[in-house]
Amino acid sequence: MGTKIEDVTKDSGYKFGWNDPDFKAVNEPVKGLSKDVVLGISELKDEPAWMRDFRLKAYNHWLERPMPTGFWGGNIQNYDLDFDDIYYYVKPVAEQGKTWDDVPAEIKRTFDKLGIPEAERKFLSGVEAQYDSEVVYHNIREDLKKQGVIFMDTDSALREHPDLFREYFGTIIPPNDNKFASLNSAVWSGGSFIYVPKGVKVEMPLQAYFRINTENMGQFERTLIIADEGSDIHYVEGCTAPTYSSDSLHSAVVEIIVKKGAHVRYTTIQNWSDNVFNLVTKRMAVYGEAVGEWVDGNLGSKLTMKYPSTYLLEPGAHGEILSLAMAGPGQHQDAGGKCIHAAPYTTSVINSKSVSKGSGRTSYRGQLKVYPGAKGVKATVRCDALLLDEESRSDTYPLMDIDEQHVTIGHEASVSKLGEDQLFYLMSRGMDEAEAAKMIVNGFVEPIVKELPMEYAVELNRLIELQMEGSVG
Amino acid sequence: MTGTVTALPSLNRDAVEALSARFGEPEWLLKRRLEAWRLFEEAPMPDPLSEEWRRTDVSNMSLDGLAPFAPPRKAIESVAGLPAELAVFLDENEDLAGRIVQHDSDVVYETLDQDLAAKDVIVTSLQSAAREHEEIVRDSLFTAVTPAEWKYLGLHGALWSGGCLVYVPKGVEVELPIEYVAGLTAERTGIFPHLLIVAEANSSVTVIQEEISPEITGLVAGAVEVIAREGSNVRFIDVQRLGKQVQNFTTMRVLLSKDASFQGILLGLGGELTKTRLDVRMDGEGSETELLGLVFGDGDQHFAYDTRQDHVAPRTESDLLFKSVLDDSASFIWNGVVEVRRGATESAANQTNRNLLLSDKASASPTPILEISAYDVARCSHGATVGPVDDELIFYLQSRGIPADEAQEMLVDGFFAEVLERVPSERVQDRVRAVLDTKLGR
Amino acid sequence: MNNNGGSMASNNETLFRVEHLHVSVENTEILKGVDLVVNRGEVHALMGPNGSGKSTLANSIMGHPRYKVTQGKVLFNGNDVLPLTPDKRAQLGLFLAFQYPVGIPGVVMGNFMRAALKARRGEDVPVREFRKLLDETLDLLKMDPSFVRRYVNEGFSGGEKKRAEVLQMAMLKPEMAVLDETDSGLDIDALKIVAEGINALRGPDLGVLVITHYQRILDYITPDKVHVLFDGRIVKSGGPELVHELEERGYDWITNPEASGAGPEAVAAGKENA
Repeated sequence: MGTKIEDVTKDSGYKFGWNDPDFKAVNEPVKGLSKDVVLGISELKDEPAWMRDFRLKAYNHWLERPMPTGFWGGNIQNYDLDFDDIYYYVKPVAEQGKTWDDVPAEIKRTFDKLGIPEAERKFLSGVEAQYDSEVVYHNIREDLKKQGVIFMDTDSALREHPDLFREYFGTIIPPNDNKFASLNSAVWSGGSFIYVPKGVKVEMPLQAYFRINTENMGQFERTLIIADEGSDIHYVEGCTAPTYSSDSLHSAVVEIIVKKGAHVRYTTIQNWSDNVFNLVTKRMAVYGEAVGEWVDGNLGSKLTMKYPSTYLLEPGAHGEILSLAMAGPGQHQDAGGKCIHAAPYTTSVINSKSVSKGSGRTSYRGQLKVYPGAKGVKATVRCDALLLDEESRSDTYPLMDIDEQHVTIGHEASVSKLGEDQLFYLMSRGMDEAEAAKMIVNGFVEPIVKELPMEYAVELNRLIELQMEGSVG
Repeated sequence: MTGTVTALPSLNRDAVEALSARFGEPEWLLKRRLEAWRLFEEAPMPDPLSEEWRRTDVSNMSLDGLAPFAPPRKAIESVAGLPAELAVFLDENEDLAGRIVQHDSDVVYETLDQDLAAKDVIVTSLQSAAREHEEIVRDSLFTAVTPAEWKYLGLHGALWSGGCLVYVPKGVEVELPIEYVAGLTAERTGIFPHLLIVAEANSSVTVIQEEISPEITGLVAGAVEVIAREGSNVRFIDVQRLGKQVQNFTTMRVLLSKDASFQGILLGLGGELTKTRLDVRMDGEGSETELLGLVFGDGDQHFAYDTRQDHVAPRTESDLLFKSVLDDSASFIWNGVVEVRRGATESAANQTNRNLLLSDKASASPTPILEISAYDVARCSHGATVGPVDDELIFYLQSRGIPADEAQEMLVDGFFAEVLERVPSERVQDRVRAVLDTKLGR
Repeated sequence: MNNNGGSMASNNETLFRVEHLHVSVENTEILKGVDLVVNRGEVHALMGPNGSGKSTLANSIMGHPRYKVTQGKVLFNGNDVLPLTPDKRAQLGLFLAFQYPVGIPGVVMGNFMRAALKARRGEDVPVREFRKLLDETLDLLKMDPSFVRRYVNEGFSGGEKKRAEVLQMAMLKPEMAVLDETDSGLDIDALKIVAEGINALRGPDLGVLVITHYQRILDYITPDKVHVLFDGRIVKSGGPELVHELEERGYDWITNPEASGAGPEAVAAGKENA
């Protein structure tokens, strides 16, 4: 029997961090990864043969590839992350929720703890809340349906839109792209699938909340977004996780296709608990006159390694990456972004802001690449880092590979501490030091926060305030 | 001598012993050489997939058939006594405090101002210093750079010869520059020049190092060690004018004590493949560093510079400005690290890199890296740009009647001026301008 | 020619003529048919609200590559200069004082000026003559001699940049000068110095087009003619009194056809002067 996953429905007996003792996992979770586990996932999901083969191929890549030790990454080999001590698939409920009423009460309680207000839930144009590995709640507003927008969990999309799915899945990030993309490709489960038809503009941001809720459970969601010509979409992904004593792993893959003249913005705020390894591969292919944007906020996790990439493939394509990182004690945010200019007259902007405190470390790691012949490229990178105390650390690793003469490329970075003069000024107006520091940090990250949807900006400011508590004095 | 065809010595352990015997070295020095040879043999060749080497064509870094040293060269009375192919690079009458000229593996000319000699300033070949100033050499040689660092430094540790020791006693200020010239004329031969500068407390000195060669194939793998003690002031200018088929690997490290200051200027003009490492370690509180670089690449020239501004002590300051102009298929890599270690409070660091591409096939890859572990940094910043000559500037000059090609030349000159004007020797400025003019086809 | 008798210096010889000029920037048409004639010895003022196309006209006259002329002519001494590169236009005696002069690091002002003067004259200028001319001009503009050793426009204050532009004009002695918002960013003292400099250069052979958003520089430089540019066309021309009218009434009465009672086409020809 070994590690084969069976579809069993008896009580798992697991205790969950937020005192949800009534929660039941559908299958008996098994730790570790093997060929049988991979086959088991595929079988359980009743997938077509091509997907099973895709998973197996990816699993072989995972076995073959060494851990990243070179330039890209935050020295993961220095952590005692045991890949055999992780659950690769946990199914929380047998059925997928159709309406809010169908959503299990335990999960609703979890949402309450996450502080998603009732009004906000109604505001959300289509809520996808990922609880453990499966999507349990899914609602798309009628007008989105009328517009022909497909917004569903990735597993359902594989069943319901097999041709569209197969055309794009794994084309932007092939399973052998990197060690963790291989892992995700082998065991992926859940995530969002979005198709926006030609010329359709989705007014409200589409959102999904993710949570890890089983100790030592890896979460491997897989998101695929296809924005057809001239369409417009803003997708928002947010994560929070309760704290556990041993390590968890989150390794997602996000693939986005932005066709001619389309506009996609992908916003992430991750606040994984500080024992989570967050190793994510995100990539966009941007075609002629299209715009692809990443807004990437990293507040939680133990170690994040995430460099959202934008491949500018046709003239006029524009890429933008806004990266925000905050590292507290024991955290390392190794984040940044890549803009690959593979066509002439493409432009990109990368703007990174990071704050380190306690023994926290933030690293900006980025790449700007201009292929020969990509004339008229304009690209700028701006990195600013703020250190809050003596224990914190900040690094900047920006790669630039420029193989074309007629380009305008600029990179600037600065690292500074909390300005004494600013603190003094605010304190002279009656604020205490902590309050003043909070205000300065909020001001520092403001250029990125203002790009977020309102409710996210509020949530982010709340998270920053929590992070900042007790950081001064 | 140069005309005689003899079998070239082979690159092996015996060569190390033969070289040591040729210079009648003390036992401790031979031991060090053999240890370095062991390290060289153990060390791998650079990994072409690593971040550091991925844009350098390491496949043509071969030591096969390379002679580890040249036949002995006789001492000369004046610079004019050098073979013509080296003499063209140098003037006989220079305003210098001292001069050491190395031809291939031997130092052939030494001179030092008598007043300075009377003040116990030492400017001599490292080879003879190993005997005559054994204590200084023994205590300082290979303390800043070590043969274990990487393969070519292991090779250097085993095979260095000639070399130059500049020793400035406490409180002595040397006004005029001291020059160390390393010239290569032996075909398919490696030379391993070593410059050791020891500046005692509150002294000051300027040292110009020149690497020169005619158009031959060969290897120059040098090392520069600067030990600047409390309150001293060292200025160092490196002018690399090697032939375009010579490979050049140089490792430079500077150790600064309290309140010491260092200005380093690297001028990269020649060579086929140049890989230069320059680290400044600011161990002493209040020490200061200024690094300037100027590179003009044309043809297939490849230049790779790794710099490190290492802030160990509080209130240290560093500033780096590197500029490159790249024509034809030339390529330039710069990996610059600013490290501010924990406890190096109130330190300030800056790096600026500007690259001007004059051709479609030229390329530049700057990587400015900040690693900041000290909270109380005064400021740390960097910037890098890559691009052609700015059309707006051309238009401005054209609008004043200056034709476009002339405007471009003016702008290239102006681009260089920012670094060149800070070279504290007009003679060096003129030489560099002459090389630039040739490269620009003027 | 109707020049309101404002010009004493004009000798009615056409120096500079813009004919039906259409200019696009990045495929957007900015100038939609500009006509303008400046006679030798005349000073014209071109006014207009932001975005009307003033700087586009200035840059097009000088031949900035980003500004694409799609129709029309720019005649200088009877010859169309549009096929010429900017340096050739400058050598003929056209001059543009930039609104935002660019900084050129590493290029020393003195060397730059000598190269420019050599290009304008077509021959080398003896050092002594150059120094003398430079010193006199610096004096005229109340500029510090150390200025000559600085990099072109690098680290100059706003006022220094504008004075440096006028200095170049004085040295190069153009026949036709276009001053693009030379008054912007200047305090009143700097403005007076710049205006005095320009007035000192006025004469029977020089044509000047002063482009400005505000009327205040025209308190010091009295124009012979005033034109209002709006939406890529000259919609009103008149004598110096137009300046005061604009000061009192703003641009709305011209730019808003309902308010003025006449469509812009009716006044576009510039012949309906008050």
